[in-house]
Amino acid sequence: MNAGTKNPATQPPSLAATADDANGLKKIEQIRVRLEDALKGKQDVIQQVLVCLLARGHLLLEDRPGLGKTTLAKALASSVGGRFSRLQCTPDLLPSDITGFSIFNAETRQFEFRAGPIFSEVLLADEINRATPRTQSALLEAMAERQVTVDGKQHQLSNDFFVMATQNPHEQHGTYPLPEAQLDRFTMKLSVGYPAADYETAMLAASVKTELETKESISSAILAAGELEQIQDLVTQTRVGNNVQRYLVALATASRNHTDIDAGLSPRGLLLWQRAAQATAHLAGRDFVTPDDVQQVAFPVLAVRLDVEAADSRNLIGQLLESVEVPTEPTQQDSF
Amino acid sequence: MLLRFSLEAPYLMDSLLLTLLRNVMIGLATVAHHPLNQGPSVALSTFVFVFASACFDASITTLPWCTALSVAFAITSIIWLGARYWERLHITLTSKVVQRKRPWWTPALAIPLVLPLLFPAARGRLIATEGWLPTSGGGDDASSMARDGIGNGDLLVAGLDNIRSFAPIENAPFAASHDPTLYDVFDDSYNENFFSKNKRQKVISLAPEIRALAENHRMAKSKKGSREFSTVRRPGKAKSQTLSNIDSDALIYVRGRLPLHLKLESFDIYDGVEWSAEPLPEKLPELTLDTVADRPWLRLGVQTKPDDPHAAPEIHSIKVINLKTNRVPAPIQLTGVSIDQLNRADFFRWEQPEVVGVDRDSLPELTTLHVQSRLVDVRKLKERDYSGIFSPQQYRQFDDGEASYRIRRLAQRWTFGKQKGWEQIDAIIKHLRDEYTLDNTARATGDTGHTVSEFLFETKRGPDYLFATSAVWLLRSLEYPARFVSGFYAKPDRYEARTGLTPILSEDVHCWAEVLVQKDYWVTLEPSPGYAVLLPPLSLTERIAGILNLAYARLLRHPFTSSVLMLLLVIGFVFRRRILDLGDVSILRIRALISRNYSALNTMRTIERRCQRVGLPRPRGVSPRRWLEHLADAIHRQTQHTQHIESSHRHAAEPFICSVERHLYDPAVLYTNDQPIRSPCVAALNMWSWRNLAAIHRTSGQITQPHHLFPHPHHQRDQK
Repeated sequence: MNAGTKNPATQPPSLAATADDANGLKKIEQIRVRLEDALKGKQDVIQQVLVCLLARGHLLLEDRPGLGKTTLAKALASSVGGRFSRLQCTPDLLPSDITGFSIFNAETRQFEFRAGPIFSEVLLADEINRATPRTQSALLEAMAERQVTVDGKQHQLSNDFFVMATQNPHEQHGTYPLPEAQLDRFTMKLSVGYPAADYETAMLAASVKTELETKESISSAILAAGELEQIQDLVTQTRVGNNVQRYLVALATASRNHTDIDAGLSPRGLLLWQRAAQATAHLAGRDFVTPDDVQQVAFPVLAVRLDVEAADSRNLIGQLLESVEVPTEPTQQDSF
Repeated sequence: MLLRFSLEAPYLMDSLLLTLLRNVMIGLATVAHHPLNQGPSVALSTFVFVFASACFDASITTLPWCTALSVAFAITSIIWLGARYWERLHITLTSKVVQRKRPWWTPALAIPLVLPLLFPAARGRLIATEGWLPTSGGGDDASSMARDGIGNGDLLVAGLDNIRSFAPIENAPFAASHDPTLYDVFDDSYNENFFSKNKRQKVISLAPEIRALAENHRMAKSKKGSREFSTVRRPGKAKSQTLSNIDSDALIYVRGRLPLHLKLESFDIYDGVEWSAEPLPEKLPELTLDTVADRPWLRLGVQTKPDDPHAAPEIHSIKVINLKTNRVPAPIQLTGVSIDQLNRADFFRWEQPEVVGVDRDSLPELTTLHVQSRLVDVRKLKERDYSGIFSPQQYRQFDDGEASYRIRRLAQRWTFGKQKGWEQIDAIIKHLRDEYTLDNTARATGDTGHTVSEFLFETKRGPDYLFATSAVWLLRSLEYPARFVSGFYAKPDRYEARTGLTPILSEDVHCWAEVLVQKDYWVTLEPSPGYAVLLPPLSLTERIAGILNLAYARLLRHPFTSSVLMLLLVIGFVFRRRILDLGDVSILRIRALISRNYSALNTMRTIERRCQRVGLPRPRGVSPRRWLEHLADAIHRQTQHTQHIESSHRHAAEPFICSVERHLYDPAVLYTNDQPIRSPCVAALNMWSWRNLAAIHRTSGQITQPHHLFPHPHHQRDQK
């Protein structure tokens, strides 16, 4: 079986009720193909990136340099038809470097607002832990509110605004680790990791291209303007039965009661988890969420929130999932 | 009602219902691990427990903590039920409530209930209630299953610890009787001079309110067990009806454990032909009265010692019917006597050692007596008992004649090698029961001058008194103090389940022996074959051991049937899980047949239970899809099919799993019609069959693993 292709026999029957749903799913698949082409051998990472995108969340990538994070972000930006900005966080980075600033125009004799890199559809914030806490706050505030205030004036960000922040877990010198409250604004934390040997070889082969091919492979957008927002709205309509909701709450409670976890999942984190599960179900072609969808995004969603080492977090999350009974009683009628 | 008719047993309606509820409760308790069964199980057990506790008369209980326990249990259960209900309570919006249509024929269910009520009542009674709450009387009909009777019904109420007659007090209705009674009503309206001074007997006065009751009702005597006369008469056409006395053949009625030896007279001196009655000793224990739970008890001055070999005291109730004696027929080791309202000790007197009677010519008819006694538990007796030589002389009376010498030699032969004490006594009795024949028609001739010798050495058959005499003489020959006793024997065969009483007829007159052990304790001995002695109540362990012994004995009696049964039981036990699984699948198929469609959820649950029985339970953190796919992969590896077949088996499984997921997790499924899903369910049952799962369990040791190592669902794996 080729990597990246799905066996239709194993796919649950698609329940997309409208042509729009089917069209949206088709385009998302095209985005997936493009991303897989850009980042070879990382289907699971791409899946989670798509989930995060459709869930209107933001992504934290924790990895060493040179693993394809920027490539991934660029491919994503081109797919959704948006602008891509890259922000290299350094200790001397100011908040205005991110949000933009007002500058006096001598000709018009008025202050003009110069938008910062945050006014793009896809923003890659490299080594966010190198920026000062003040600068981090400015970015993270914008992520939460999708607007910035400069000189007393509010400026709305793009509806498709998506942040991919990165940090190097092995480099601690001169860093300002993100506090828990800020980490909670990210939907997921992923680690790309090194590709397999076969994929690395394929990557090398694919990099040998003519200039023309290189330009064509990046420039065309898959989604039209506003389409991503429509798909994101569809995701929010994915049904979640109250037994699955109780399951989510039980998992959150278990995380709060776990002796090795200082602070468990917050209600915001729980909401983000549910949204991510909805996105997962939507990508699977279902209009309802199952416990498998919840479990599939458990690791990336919880990893960003549990204040433990990466190796320990995998075990801890596994323990949490093992300890809570998967619901096997049918969902009841809607209560609210 | 159907159950009563089918059983053809006179079980009371409420008893049947309670038994049924109890059995349902036990059945539910076995499946109470399932959340759906917990509520009904707890509710039912609370009802049964509290109802049974309320029926239990706390006034005579020796377990005062029972009431506290039942209250605590009831409170805990109610709190649990309330909390559970609150937890499951949902607030639903009216607009989102699904209106499920009832089938059109639902109102027809009420017809069987309503129709009987519309029929004209027969003799004023509604057909609908007849048979549900049976009564005995009120008209010409009577139900044999009535608990309470009115009018002249056959079956009257049997009392519990009171043998009720037909009056508010146990022995009251003598207002219309001219027979001498224990009670009298001091009232000018009665002819007090009816009884001449010579005939006047001791009587006791009644309280005014009881006197009033006796005045207001005419009551007939009923000598049959338990008759009750209702004071509520249904208005109807006037009938001239005379109360008739209902006669009985019984001398007395007994309530309590059986078999029972009721002593009336004991004899100590034997001249070879005749027994002489035991006289009263000079010094006798004082008779005192005591009140326990509002009941007067005559205490016979029995002293208790710390190491008494007695079982717990027990009470028997006796109703005198046609017995002309003033003696109280009582079991051995009598400790107390109670007659209702009789609260004066001078109404009683000693008749013989350990035989007490009323200070009158005879006990009046229909007197109810309660007697308390203590059995000696022979297992608690000391191993060796040499106390015979210290006992009163008359109980060791023996002669030196040739006949007695032969009897002594016989006794020594029978007890050769046995320890002095109960072992020897038991050996004597055993020989008599095994080697001699009970024949009530055989009579001793008296020619030899020593009937015992004639019985033991020549005829070897005879009535019970010869057995008793022989036992006493044999024991005395070995210096065991013993005596001859006459009285009545309450046979277990005569026990009447309807009334709970045992009648004693004239042919139940009986003779037996008693032996004095450890200087102070008389023990009943039953040397006559076909009769038995009442044993102390068994402990739980002893009962279980008794049942096992009985079962073992029955097994030995029917070897072939037993072997087949054992084999079936063993096979059933070994393959119990498979049998349960077959039953499970059969139920699923029957339900599918009835509803004309398979249920994906029920099929999934059947498969889950199958997995559990095979030994492959689904881990709690793993979803059904993941688990089933994991098993399917394992089955595939097991059978080593090609990839083509791998896809096809997934094809068969996928619609089933998708349907299960939809029914479990999609809220919208409530608003959609069920699609036919027979083929996927049947395919699923075949895919995750017992055979396939058992094969996995046998060969694979890594079927369960940590959650994070569990393979993801197939559609997620294809994304990698």
